[in-house]
Amino acid sequence: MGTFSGKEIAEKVLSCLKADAALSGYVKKFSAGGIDAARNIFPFVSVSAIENEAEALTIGKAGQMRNDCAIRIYGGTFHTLPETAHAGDEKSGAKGILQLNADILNAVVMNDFGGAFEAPVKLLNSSTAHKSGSGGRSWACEVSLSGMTATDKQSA
Amino acid sequence: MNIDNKEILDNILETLRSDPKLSSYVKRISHGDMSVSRKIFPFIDVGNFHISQDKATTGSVVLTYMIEIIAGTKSLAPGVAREGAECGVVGIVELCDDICDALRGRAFGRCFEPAQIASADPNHTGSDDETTRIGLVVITCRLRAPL
Repeated sequence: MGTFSGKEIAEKVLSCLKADAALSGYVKKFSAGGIDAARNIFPFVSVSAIENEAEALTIGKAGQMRNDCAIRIYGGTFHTLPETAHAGDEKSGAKGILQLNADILNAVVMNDFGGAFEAPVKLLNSSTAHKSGSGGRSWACEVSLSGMTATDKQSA
Repeated sequence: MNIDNKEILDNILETLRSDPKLSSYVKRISHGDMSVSRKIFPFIDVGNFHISQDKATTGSVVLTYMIEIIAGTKSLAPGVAREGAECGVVGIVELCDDICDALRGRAFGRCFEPAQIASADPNHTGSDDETTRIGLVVITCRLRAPL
């Protein structure tokens, strides 16, 4: 196993997002967990779905293991004007999903989250999509990252 | 990192709005408004952004953007929303072509290479009676974001 547990990694990612100057200026809720829009205060950022993967690097027993960890970060915006929920409004200062997505990427891409990962994480994918049925008033983004948490010995 | 999605969006909208052919018949060019019921046809709407990491160096990260642009046409006459009519009504096939022509080869924001057309699908969706046709154009561009 890696040095940090999944929960600790999620907390480190969350701390990094909370400490980001751009995000903390307008994001109303940071949380660990799901993307249940009914309970969220917009704009929100949520760290979710820690997935671990371990791969043996050698054929024989008791060789080295590579432990990878994937994280998903969700963000959401809401505004009665779809164009504002999408790209914000410079006059009112409201941020849209494109700014929230960019600010999350600026905070996390090529970050090792205080040593939680052995090397800077790789951005697997980042997508924005409107919530079905909202007509564009509610937008969400998903940022998927992956990185190596540790190499250690497999048990014999 | 210095990623700015809004800059790319603004550049795409500006390119679409300044295209003489599109501006002659498209009634509304918007972004983020995904409700077809509120649209004035023909329309173009820039929507979803998909970003993936291409490669990283010590000084920068190359990001590949895939940007979805939806377009729509409407006509009560059979087949006109798709194929257009000789009287000058433009169908979704021609609208998708015109969007591709306007965006192909353009550089948006700080993207270091011209935009490419990943797909142009005039049959993306539409009403069952074929009075409304929605097309989807996906463009790709690559951005080098300094660390």
